[in-house]
Amino acid sequence: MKVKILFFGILSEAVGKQEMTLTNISDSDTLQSHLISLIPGLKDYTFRLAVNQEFIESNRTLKDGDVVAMMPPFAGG
Amino acid sequence: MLSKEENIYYSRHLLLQEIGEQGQLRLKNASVLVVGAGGLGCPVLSYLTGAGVGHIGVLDADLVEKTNLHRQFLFGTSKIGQPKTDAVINHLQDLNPHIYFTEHFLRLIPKNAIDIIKNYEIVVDATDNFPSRYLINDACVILDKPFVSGSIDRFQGQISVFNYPDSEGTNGPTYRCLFPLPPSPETAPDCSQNGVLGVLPGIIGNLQASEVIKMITGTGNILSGKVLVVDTLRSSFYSIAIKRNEHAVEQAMKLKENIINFDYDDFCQSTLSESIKQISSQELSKKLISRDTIQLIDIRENDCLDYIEGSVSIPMSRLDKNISHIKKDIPVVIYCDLGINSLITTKILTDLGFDNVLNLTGGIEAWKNLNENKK
Repeated sequence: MKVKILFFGILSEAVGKQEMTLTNISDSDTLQSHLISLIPGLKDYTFRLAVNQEFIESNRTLKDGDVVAMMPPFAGG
Repeated sequence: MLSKEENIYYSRHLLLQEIGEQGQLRLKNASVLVVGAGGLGCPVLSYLTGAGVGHIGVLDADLVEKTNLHRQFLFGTSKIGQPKTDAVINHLQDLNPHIYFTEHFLRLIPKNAIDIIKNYEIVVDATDNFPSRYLINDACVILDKPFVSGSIDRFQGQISVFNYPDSEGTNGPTYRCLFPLPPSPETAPDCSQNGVLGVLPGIIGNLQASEVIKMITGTGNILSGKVLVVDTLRSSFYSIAIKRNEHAVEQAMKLKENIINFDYDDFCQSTLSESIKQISSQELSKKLISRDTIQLIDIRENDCLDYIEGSVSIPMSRLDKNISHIKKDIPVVIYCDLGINSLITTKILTDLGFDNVLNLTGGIEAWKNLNENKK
């Protein structure tokens, strides 16, 4: 199974790309810890996770084709 | 009633069935405070002025700088060094002489926020920093006012209408429901550090103005309960649903009597990594196995079957009343479902002088995952 991850704002700079696809990630907690193991600097950032355009409040099981967005707050105006 | 002059001025609005004379009169009788007369403020102010919002407050403490001009179009090179508020009102009064402007040449701070905001029906957050964003949120929650939030980062912008009442009078999510705590400053640079595409605040500010006009005239759907993310590089509009989080709203409401004493600069300076200590499920498991003395506190509201052995329940809503039951000389570990509300609680306790409070990262969900993997 494949999951697409979209990185918004400064997170795309921290990760070095705007999106990536990961396979065999069972849930959003696993995804988050997997991404932090790939890019340790991510743990210093504030962001919310959304699955299929809905911010999640607790761990969410992921299925094939899900789109996860990582959204930080923006400062500028 | 609209005057003869106003009927000519607003004729293109009056032709729209969705606005018409009734909508135009609503605009005329409305009052909107725009906090920030910069990148977002310029387009918001221009279109609210053109639309005929009867009373517009313009709030900004900055002077016009050369670096503003590539995106802030209500003042030119001749205005450099002058207050933005003055330059903006001069320009806008010429654009629409039917509007009454109030100039607030100051920074919005806890001491003046309530007194200023209470005079307006709707607030537009067009600021460029987190202390102002949290202050506007809290003051609007306390005063029960809706506010239209816009923020930008390089090529992307976010926009949402917060604290907006639905048809049954229930208010929608707030900024704190989306981001309960501010980011550490080094991970959230502003335009002066990170740059910004000049046209971006134009897009986001215009969307903010559009939401304000719809709210006043009662037209269309309001962008409440979701955040719209605009990406100029991807040419995409991406909308994400947000839920109201009563605990996050409560953080604003509890400042009702003492917002004056809340230091928003300090709140946004104390970075999470510095001020909040975290513990992983693995580390907690080791501590429990080696029988370390800790106070393990479950702050979820309802009795849950899936608690961690040895924990006590202190629902977050009753934290204030139970604070005396928490000992300062014994380490505290706080947990909830996912680690968001526990993060807020950890921050509250840390600020109250508990220097050994840890947030369980990922909450009970991460704990269950760890223990399922062991089986």
